[in-house]
Amino acid sequence: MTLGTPAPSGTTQQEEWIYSFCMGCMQADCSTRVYLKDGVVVNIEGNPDSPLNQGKVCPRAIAAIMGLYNPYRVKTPLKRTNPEKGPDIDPGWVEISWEEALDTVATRLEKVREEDPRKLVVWEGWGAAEVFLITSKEIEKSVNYTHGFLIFSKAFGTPNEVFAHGPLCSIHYAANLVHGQHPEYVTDLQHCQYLIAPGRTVGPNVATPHATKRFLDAIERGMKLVTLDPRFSPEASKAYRWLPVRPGTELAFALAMIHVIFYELKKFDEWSVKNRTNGPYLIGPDGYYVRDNSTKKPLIWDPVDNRAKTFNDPSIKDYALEGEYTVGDVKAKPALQLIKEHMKKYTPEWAEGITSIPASTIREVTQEFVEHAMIGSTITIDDFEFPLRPAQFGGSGRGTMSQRGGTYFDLAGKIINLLVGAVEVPGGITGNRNPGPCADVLEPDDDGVVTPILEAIGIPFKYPPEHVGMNEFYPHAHAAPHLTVRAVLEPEKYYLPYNIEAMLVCGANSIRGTCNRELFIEAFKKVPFTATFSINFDEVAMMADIVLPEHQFLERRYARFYLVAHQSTDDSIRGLVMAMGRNPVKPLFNTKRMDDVLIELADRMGFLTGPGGINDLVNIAFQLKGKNKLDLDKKYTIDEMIDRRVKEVFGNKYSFDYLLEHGVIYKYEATGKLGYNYYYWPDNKTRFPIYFDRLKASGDRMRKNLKKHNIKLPNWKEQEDYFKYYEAIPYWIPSPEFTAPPEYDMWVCNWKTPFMPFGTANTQENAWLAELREEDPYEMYIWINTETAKKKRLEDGDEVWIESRYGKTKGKLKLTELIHPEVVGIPAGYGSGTIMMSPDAKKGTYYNTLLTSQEDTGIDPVSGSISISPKVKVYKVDGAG
Amino acid sequence: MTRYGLVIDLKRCIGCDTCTIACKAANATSRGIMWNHVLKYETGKYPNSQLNFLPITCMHCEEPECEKVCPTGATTKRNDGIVVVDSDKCVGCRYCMVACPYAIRYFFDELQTYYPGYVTPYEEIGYKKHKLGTVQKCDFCLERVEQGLQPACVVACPANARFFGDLDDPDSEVSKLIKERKGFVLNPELGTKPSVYYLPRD
Repeated sequence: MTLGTPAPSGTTQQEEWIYSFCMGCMQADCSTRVYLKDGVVVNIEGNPDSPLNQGKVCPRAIAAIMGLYNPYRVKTPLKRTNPEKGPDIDPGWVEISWEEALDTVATRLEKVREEDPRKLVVWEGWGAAEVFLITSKEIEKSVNYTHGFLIFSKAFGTPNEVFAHGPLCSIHYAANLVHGQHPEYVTDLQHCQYLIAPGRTVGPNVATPHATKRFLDAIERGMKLVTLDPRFSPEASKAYRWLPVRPGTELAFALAMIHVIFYELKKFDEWSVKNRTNGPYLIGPDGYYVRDNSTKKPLIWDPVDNRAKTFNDPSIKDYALEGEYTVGDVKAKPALQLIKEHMKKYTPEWAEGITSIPASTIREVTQEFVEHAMIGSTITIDDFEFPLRPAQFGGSGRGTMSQRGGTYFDLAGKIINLLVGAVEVPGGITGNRNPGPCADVLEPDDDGVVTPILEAIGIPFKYPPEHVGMNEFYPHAHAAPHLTVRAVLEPEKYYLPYNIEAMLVCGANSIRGTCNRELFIEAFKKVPFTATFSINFDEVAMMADIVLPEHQFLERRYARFYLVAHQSTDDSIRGLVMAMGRNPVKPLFNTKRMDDVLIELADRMGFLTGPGGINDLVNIAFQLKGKNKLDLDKKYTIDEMIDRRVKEVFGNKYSFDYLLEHGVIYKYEATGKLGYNYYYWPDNKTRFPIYFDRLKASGDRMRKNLKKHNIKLPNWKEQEDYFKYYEAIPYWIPSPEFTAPPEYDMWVCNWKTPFMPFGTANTQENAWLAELREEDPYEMYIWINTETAKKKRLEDGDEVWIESRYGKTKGKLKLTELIHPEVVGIPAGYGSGTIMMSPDAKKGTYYNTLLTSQEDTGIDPVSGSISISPKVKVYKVDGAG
Repeated sequence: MTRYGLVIDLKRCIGCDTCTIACKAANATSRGIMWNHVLKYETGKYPNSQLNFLPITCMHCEEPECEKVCPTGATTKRNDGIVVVDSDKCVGCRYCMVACPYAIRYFFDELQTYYPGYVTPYEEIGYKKHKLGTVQKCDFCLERVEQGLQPACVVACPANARFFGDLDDPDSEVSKLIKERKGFVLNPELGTKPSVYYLPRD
């Protein structure tokens, strides 16, 4: 432990404090000070030296004290003696030594590895966000891996990495495709004057400190916020407009906005569309680029010289965006013409019928948006002239994207932003790649369009499939726990050529965090061996054969390399490269750090050292070079690996010890003009896709592959329904919820709150958070519009069932004006626990039983995201249904 | 003469309750006692709805009703404006709780730990600060303030919506904010003259 100098804002009971950082949400980027008295944590505050959270915290950071001292924690390694498994069945735990635990797990997994390493599924979740060997480390196109991997599972040799985070939040495809960045895109709150925020938080709704401050400063400066959301949120209370919307219909709103831009305002950023999108590219009757016969480059039509030219022809005088042209014997139209024709039917009146937002409002908002975009304006930063477009539509959000059609919604949002030129310029939306802008990001491919990465490239097709998560059939899917369990239970149906023999669960609880809970329980029962890293006795721990007790986060000595901006960005984080250090509190119980156990297991199983082993992959993932590279044949501790990484990133005069003593180390790599991706590829040097030919190509490839192997997509009654979501221009497809029987007369929606944005850090069992949420007048209730309740003869405090066609859940009603009349709302993710968790944990209403992950009903076939807002009926618990 | 006051900017407050829990952590209050809490209430009718947040704590009134009624002199207003309860003098009559128009005084009559049946090491240390059978409330983090530090709630607020300082210094941040943004107090008609000011949300 390190003694710091007395803090200017510190508590007074004692002067002893240590640098730490928080894991109260998946961002894990708030540097903190942990105050101690005789080794006991007595307070937690923000670290004022961090340029990110600047001394601030949220409720969860402080509540970590009660998480640390939670008596329901897992205290020792355990093995089960009761062969019957279930979240509410006593496992008959017997305490064992770490040696026995490690030996059992290593022996079992080694056997699996010898048979077929694919038979191990490694579950990863936000609980492991800071764990180096499990954190999903995406390696970008500049290194020779096109897809991310988890170091441990890759060294083991299994491709079966299942992300527990993400089935209800798969928001990456469009960012990977259009921005060439991962994980997502954020709003530039420094310059934005008009922000339309659909189904998402910009910071305050989950109280993330740095985004909250940035948001409020923007509001103070006069930024107009339009929240498109079924419920009135804390952010809506600061907004210029609240647009209450039927959940899952936001795509219709977006399509109507595009219609208004083309047909009513007739105003968009022509220069930007012509020079910086594939809008002018000629599209043939097959839906693909018309290409030059010799160079194979996509063609555009120059209306001045009246002929087709390759997109990068230096003699181009102008680009046609409309019309029909003949090239050779092919009739072609510019992509933008096709988009425009396509959007003709999406009038504001049509959208009003679907969304319930008045057509006049749709028109007004679109007009305001285009006006605020200030098309043609510029801003000079470091004597470089940038386009300035201070209006934005979107920013990644699960409310809109965790829907069937959610990918189309995200892509439609890109069209809106691209039409006003508000992508990757000051004021516009920007990808949030770590460590920020550089020349690689918007580098064009051979067709002159931004090179896609990761999920937008997708997993190559293989038959029989390699992955239990069915990635071969859903190449762009982000996280597929719901498909994994289906394939585990019915491998023949899913063409899986092997059975899963073992599960290793790392900071992930898909039993609670997905839906179709019974499938997960059955899958875990079927698989002969499960080992979990656990802080508490959650659902997955209760299915384990061996429980490996993990330190609560305050007890883990670690470094965290700041990953990405979340929600928004400004100069304080543009180009920021930062590491945070955590000095541990002395562990209370017989627990360990997950990385230490993984190194030990890898060593015992023989893949720690040698080519392709842990050391080798750490070298690649951490981009260690020269002296900092790990010797492939030595055994290193995780602390030594962290030390190497600190040196690699900041230079050899730094170290892990230095980081622990100082709390943060940071520098800015891309500031000023270098902080904007436009700088590296200005003018017509790169283009964003506005016509999504790659998505269409992916669908066409899948058709070919299915035909080639004479197989069908598993679990799709109508195969064509899948391909509807793989077209080059987004369009409206009513989900199965639109044809639900009339008794399901309401929609249901969910949102994250400051008290529980995730289950990470065991927010459910945390007694301080439990008190706050139970005191809160809204948090633990089912929200219903007051008028609607009156019509249904329901009263405040009534206990009701909310029932979809897939499941039901119950809770107490809160009558409120803060929600759309056709929507019932259930906050956060309460109401799910086990017999070994604290009584607080199970209180509340569990949302996920209302959902289905059945492929042809409840998922977006591109992202794999589960549809989060089905239709439901509401009725009193003691009344008739 | 220093006269401490608190300013809460309702334009910035997002109702996250970080102030509530920061106060709790710094002062180790028992379960059921929230020296600072945030009222959350709605106004307006759909679709012109509005959600409002009002953080409430002891107002450290210039004319405190609690001091007037305290039979033992346990409650006093210090020269620096902070209203304090001396728990050695308090006999727990709770007359002050009846008198306080803001309902921000709490009677510590039963130790309720956060995990029933278990006292965490944190609570072991923290609860020693409180005397059973006495009334307690926000004391503007007196011990911190005397060392030149800011109250816990001010330090923690991620919205930068809380300010603390000398109301008698016209150049202090709090004085300037109150003047420029037309800060107001709750229930001025009662004549309590609170030292906690709110900046309007509009």
